[in-house]
Amino acid sequence: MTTTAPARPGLRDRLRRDWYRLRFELAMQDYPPKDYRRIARSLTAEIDAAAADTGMRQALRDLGSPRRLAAGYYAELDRERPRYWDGGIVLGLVLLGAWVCLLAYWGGAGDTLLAQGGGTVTLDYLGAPTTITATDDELALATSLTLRGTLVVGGLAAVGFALGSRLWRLLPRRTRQPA
Amino acid sequence: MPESPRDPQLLKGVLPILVLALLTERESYGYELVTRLQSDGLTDITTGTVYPVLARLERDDLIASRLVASPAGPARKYYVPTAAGSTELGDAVAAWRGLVTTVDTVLTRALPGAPALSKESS
Repeated sequence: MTTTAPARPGLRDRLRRDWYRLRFELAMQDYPPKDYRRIARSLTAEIDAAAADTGMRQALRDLGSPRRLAAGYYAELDRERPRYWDGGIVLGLVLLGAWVCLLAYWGGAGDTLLAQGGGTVTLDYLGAPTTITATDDELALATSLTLRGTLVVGGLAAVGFALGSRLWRLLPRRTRQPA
Repeated sequence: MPESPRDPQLLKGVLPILVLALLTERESYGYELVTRLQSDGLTDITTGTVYPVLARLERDDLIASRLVASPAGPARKYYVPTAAGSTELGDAVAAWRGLVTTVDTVLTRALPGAPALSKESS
């Protein structure tokens, strides 16, 4: 079916198209930014041109889901890309894990001090001196920012991010030369 | 004999060649290219399959594009092979024909009862 369409799609069609484009953009977050911008411009032009022939609904239906379309573009890349959002999630989990371990450390040390009648102890947690006080009247945790502590926590977070995002995909690939 | 479903991996390998060949025949915009492929027998192909191929061919400078204003509708982006694209198509067609001959030879030997490729289509 050929429809006569205005040069610019109507508001409802533009909203449908832009909603599709937003979901496509989310799926393409790890794509090389410069190439993505070119693809986004081209895709908008193609969608509008197809919509002039079939209507916007059919044009978007023919594209398939935004994630599947994005997978098609990723498949055409010469190499796999790092997944920065996955890396961010792993980094967050590492920091959360370190924080939970600190609370457990504090709780365990506090329990031990209380069992011995209360007191104060200074321990080393991930390179940072940490003072724990536990008495009948007070339960306190004090830690200070040190270079060693920052390097240890920062290093753990960086390793987590690198592994989660598969950062090695940025390295140049060695191509095997024929014998 | 009913046609068995086409393996999408087979299409993935030849689609760039088909796109270059059709654009050599006549320049087209994206949706028009899809309808041409469908008319030629690839009935289940969609714009979602073709657009990434067009993006890669353009990124590799095998096709060029231009915007053409349309009297009734939005401007359309027409694609045409570059000189490098024409060379690439020639090489790909030679490789494809060699592959088809090899595959047909093996299949004819391994499956004597199966229909062989006709001389016209090899």
